[in-house]
Amino acid sequence: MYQEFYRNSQYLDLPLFALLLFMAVFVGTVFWLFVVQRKNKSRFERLAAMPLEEETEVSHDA
Amino acid sequence: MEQRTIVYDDDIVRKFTFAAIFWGIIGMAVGVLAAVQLPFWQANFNIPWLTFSRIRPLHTNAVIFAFVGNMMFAGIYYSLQRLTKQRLASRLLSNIHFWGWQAIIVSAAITLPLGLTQGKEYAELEWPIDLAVVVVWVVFAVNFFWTLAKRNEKNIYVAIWFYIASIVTVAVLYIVNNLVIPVGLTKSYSIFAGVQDALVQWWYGHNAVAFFLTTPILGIMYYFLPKAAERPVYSYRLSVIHFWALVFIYIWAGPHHLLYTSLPDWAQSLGMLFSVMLWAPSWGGMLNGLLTLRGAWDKLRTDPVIKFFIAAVTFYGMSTFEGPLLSIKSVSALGHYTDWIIGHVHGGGLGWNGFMAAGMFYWLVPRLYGTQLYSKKLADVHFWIGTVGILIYMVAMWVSGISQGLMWRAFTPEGTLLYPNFVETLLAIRPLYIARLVGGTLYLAGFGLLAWNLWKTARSGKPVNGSVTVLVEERKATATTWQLIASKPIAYILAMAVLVAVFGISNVFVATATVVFILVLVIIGLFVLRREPGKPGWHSLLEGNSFAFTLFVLIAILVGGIAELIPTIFVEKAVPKIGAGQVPYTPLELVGRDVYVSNGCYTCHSQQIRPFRSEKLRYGDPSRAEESMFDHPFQWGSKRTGPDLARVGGKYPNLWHYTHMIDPRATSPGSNMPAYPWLEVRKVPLHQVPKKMQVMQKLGVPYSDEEIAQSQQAYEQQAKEITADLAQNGVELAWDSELTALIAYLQKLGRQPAPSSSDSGPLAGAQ
Repeated sequence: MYQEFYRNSQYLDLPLFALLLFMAVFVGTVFWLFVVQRKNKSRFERLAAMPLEEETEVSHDA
Repeated sequence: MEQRTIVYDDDIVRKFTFAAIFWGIIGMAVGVLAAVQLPFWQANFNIPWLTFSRIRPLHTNAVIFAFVGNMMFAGIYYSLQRLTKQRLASRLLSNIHFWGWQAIIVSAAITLPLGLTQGKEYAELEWPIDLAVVVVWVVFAVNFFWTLAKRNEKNIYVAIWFYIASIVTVAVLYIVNNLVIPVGLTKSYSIFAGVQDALVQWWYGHNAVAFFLTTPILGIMYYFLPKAAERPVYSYRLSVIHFWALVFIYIWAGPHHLLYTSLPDWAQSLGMLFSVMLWAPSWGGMLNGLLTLRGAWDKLRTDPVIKFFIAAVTFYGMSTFEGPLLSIKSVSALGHYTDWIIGHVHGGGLGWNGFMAAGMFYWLVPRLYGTQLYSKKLADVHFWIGTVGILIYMVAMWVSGISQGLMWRAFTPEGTLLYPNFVETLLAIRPLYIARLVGGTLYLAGFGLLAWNLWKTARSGKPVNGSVTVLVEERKATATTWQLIASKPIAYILAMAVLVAVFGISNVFVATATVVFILVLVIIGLFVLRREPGKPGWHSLLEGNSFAFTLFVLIAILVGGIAELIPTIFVEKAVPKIGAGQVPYTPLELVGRDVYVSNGCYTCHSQQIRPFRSEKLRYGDPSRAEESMFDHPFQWGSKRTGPDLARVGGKYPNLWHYTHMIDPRATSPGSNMPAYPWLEVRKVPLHQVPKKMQVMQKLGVPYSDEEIAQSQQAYEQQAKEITADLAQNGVELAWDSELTALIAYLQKLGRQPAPSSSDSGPLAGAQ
């Protein structure tokens, strides 16, 4: 596959370029989340609990 | 700071909920009718609009866009309001969205059985309905983003990220794949042809699964599962990875539907690679869902909502394991075109989508009516009937698919096909078609119980709207879009882009040195430019800016789309054209092709011979890219309930085709193909022929103006040659009947000029 990319037009480099870019961004994101943000536990806990906030019911006509 | 009570608009949620249940029953019932016809072909009662090839698109469109569509709108509107602490921005837009969507469904339910179709799977709707879909989708998007803009909650919860991705991506996919030139109000031709059309279609088709059936439902999972479990989501960090990785990777996976076809090999390999990569984010999401129940597993015994959710997430895990597995080329070689794919799809559809819907409805409806669920016991019965139904269905299709695949490629010791007659393989799996019917019927019966249970629940209460009191403060702009772009993460991404470019144009030593250099820079940068304590991070700022978030999602999905589609569509070398010039369809053949598309022949017949020894022996030489270069739309198909037709032209006399269409069992004893007697009596609208050719000419098919001007005469002449041939065998067929045109088209298939011996490559991958 690699050889075929380079045998053809330069446009065919695009997928490989995007794949490698994705890998780099992925590694960066994991590093950021689990290393840089490791002390930010309370913020993530608050965000994770967002669906659990209470509400009340009112009649249909309200 | 002002205290305000927000009363949510749950009326629209109620409407979408019951619409989903109604269309769910209709869509599944149509599926059962289609399933009946596979072992019992007579079950179409010789009615065109009840025939498998017409109702199969109706079934898929109904369950995807009507059932799951309405369900997802209900879930999105309910959770969006709670997560933003804001009532929906516009009741008018909500109602336009609801009634517009129902009108579209009704239009589809009328036109598809009538054979008005674009002939591309899950994209069958003709252009006026497509336009309506786009308008209604825009209305939905405006209502959604308007509500988001007015929100009383700073952060955008992960569920909303998935909704944003769905809204943006579905719009892009739907518009690109439905680019057509109309011939009339009910007929159009895709602007793409052959290989390009195949790639665009499966880029769309796979991502219809991804961004219509998966991402919005994942958003629903991230909201409703914690609600039902009364536990926060297991890992918010994991959800960040899950979201971005899934959104980026999913968009690439389409070509796995085209493995071993005449799509360029690099695109196939790319589709396979990204499909296998999908394992990781999919399972990350599944585990995040399952582990949300930590500490509350006892609820699995007592709460039907939790049962449905956990089973749904488990089916999601199974489907997202099986999908990448089937994308591996050697597995695809066995499974593609067989019932294995049908089993896989229904594992996801019935297990993931259907059970998520059921869980959400059982949780939602009592709250929408301020009451308790009418019967937990009935919900439990539904769960078990549904689960058993899915298992019967999936196991039957697995066994059927693998049996088919093995029989198609089985050889005698002498090296000939062990089962040369396709019907033999069909007869072997007939009992499994009956088992599938049983499984599907059980599932439908379970869904009927849900409808009854929820109807009784609604009747026992009265509609109520949720409400919340919020402290409204003027929201400070935490970061502008520009600040989010001119930031460290984006600088990191650009640095990586430079790195990748260097890697691409230099030798391995320079590239490695650059990698090390940039990584060192990044690590130093992270430590030197550390964020001040208490200052929000980039992603948390991004979560507060819905415009920037949407922009980044759009970029993430466009990267994949552009990098994959552009080379195939625009680079001449990507689709090698070998051999002598291809000959366009004659007017009669072109009309015959429209008859083929209209009757949904592609639902059972492929037109793509893979480069395997077994397929060469059964069907002929492997298909080549240039053979379908004038096919707007392509008709490669995705399933072989009947044999491949790519080289059926000239294989049988006209009389055989006539007899086969009138009574398939007269030529192929044991076949389950329905008869198409109506084709004999239906007349072709001849006045449309020049117009059709003009549209094709605009699309690049080399018809001359003279050929178009004389198209009706040419049509009549060729048609009369066929009817004269039939008359010699005692068959009277009108020259302007649909059947005459269809015979002409079938006789054309695979009869393009063969490539010269120097052009043709060796038979690749013979198996």
